[in-house]
Amino acid sequence: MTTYLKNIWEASATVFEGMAITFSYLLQRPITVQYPDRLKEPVPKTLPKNYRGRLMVDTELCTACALCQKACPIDVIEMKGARTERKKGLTLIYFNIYHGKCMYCNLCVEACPAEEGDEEAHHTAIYFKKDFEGSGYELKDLVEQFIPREEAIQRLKEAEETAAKRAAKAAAESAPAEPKKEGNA
Amino acid sequence: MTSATREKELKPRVEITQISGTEIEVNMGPHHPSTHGVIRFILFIDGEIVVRAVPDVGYLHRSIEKIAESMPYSFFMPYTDRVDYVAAINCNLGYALAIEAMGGLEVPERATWLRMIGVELNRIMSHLVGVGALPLDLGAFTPFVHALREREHMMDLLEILTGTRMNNNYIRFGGVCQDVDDEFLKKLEKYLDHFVLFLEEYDRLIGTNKIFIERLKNVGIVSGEKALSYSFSGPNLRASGIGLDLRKVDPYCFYNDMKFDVPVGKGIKGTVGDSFDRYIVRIEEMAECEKILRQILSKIKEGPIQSKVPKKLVLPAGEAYHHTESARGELGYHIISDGKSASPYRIKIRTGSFASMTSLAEIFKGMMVADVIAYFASLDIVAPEVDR
Amino acid sequence: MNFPAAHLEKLAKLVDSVYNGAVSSEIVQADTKIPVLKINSRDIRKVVELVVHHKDLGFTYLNTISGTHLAETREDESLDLKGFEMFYVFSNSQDFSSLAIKTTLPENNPEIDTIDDFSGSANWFEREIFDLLGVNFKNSQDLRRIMLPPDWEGHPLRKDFKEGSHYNGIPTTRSSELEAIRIE
Repeated sequence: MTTYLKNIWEASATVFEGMAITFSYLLQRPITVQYPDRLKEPVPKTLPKNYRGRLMVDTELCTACALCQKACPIDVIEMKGARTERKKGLTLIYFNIYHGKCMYCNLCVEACPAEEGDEEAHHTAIYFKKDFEGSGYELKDLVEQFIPREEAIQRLKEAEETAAKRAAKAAAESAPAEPKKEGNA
Repeated sequence: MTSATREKELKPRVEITQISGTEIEVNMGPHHPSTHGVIRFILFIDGEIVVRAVPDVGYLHRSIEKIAESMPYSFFMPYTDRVDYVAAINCNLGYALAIEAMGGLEVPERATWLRMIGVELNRIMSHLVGVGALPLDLGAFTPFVHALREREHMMDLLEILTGTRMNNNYIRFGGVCQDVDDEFLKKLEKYLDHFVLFLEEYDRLIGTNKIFIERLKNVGIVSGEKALSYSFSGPNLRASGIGLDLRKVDPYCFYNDMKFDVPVGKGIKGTVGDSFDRYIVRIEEMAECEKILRQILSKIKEGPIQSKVPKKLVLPAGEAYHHTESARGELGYHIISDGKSASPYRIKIRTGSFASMTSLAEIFKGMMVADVIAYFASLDIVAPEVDR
Repeated sequence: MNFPAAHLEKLAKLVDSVYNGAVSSEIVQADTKIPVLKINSRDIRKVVELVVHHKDLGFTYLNTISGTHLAETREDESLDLKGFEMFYVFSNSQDFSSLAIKTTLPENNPEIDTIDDFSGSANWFEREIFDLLGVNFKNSQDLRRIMLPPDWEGHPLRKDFKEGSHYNGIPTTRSSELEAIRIE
């Protein structure tokens, strides 16, 4: 009988000890916040420097070297660079990222050779934005085309023209001379 | 599933004498709140007693060992996060150490310290989930919220350290992916002061609770001998009274210089190796992790974080078995290289959860259904780690 | 942990003396300093019994069993064969020093004796290898698929495994959303 009563006493006493801790939290400021309505400042501002949010491409900075595409283990990035008359070097024809598949592993960012900015605002051509709210209603909403589709088609056409021109030029140059320097186009 | 294959699947391993002859087949899982992922048990119960149990795993099998064979060594690193998403950096470290041992790669000092910070933080986070989900499965919701709140603070720290909250992919061959400033180290130290208080409070919140103790003590007793036979490792093995910690017996990184104790189960509320021991060992181990983290903070120095590693890594032909102490026990990587290609010939991952699962069929026998939950929750199993 | 050299010699001598040379064994050092005992697959039970139960050895803790399908010739001379390679890792329960036992099986109809009566966990490790590699463990208590569904065809970790396009009417691959917007 005594053990029975002791058990009941112990059970309720130890429960109350735990409840005391729970109760103490009632008097403290809550740790949770009303997201996203009542925030002191937007969340991206509170995030650390190298936070991996959504993958972004600075199409101006990008040299279309395709190293990020090669560094991606799961083929999230699909891009192409080719020569056009727009600028020296390679022009970015299209750059698509499938956010639905990205696993935020940072390997593409580490591979990127194009950099810009000082210590504070340093970023590579492909980089993680601090923005993380990127949900969509369909899977295809998660594909982002950094060069708009019409523009990409236009650029592709230009690239083809340039390639044809260069091939013609190379053929014209190499025809009278010996054909030892095959076109680099 | 055809009836023949189903017959075969349910074929009893060991015949058991029935108690009243009315055996009911109960299907528990794969979607069950207490199975921590998708794991299924087929329980044959007689009244409240489990006569026979057939654990069924594989619902999360992604065959990442096969995936590894088709990609370069460095590409596999993000996949190791997904072996155990609760302690991702631990899995990174095991893989990186195995490759570094095979390829003879150097790791700078600071990188090793940063790795250890990541690993120990991760271990605390993982144990918080373990000790938080245990009362949750027994019906107490509050401790889970408290544990996850602390985990949230640690995730904020990991965010600074690695840039991500989960699936960190922090470690690279020969180093880590990014450095931290002194501000982070100060933040971490300040947080550890808070964490000691929390640990005390948490143990007071649930660890002294009579109902909680009664649910766990003398439930699912695994003796030391049995634990070795089931290849238990990590906290589960130590709870059975065997103080084996790979950080002590086979030191890697700088664990040789660290002073910490290996908590073992003493059966303070019941028998050595019962479910309560598995709970208390995890609580004590978090305190040890805190000690290790403080030592790291006092010893970490400035320096490079990445050594030179060839871009296309081809390991010499041969094989290696390298094991580390993950949050859930021995994490072993058996790696075979053919010496020609840049991708592994074979990677086999040995995980603690898979080994712990082997005990279920035997231990469940003769248990009450409610105790099945208590025992299973106390093992702290993560389903993706079982299935890989 | 590094395996003590004294143990190593003792083991080689023991294997030799206990079975009077009937069991061939060869000690090689693996890359991470785990000594590997290479044996003939038919002697697996004898050697495991010795390693686990002998009072001087006592490697009662089974770390893991790993299997590999060797389909192509590899550079390492000792591994130059076709078939399956089994890799058992045992640890001493006292000082946790490790030891590996390695054996090879033929490519057609790979079979090896089970060791699931030596360790409670061996059965699951063996089941995984049976499931993913198709190695048959003779006299096993319970040999069925563990990771894959019972009606799955083939063993994925074999090098010549080809995944079917459908499983029970469910396609096994999904086209990437990137393909839909391709302009080339």
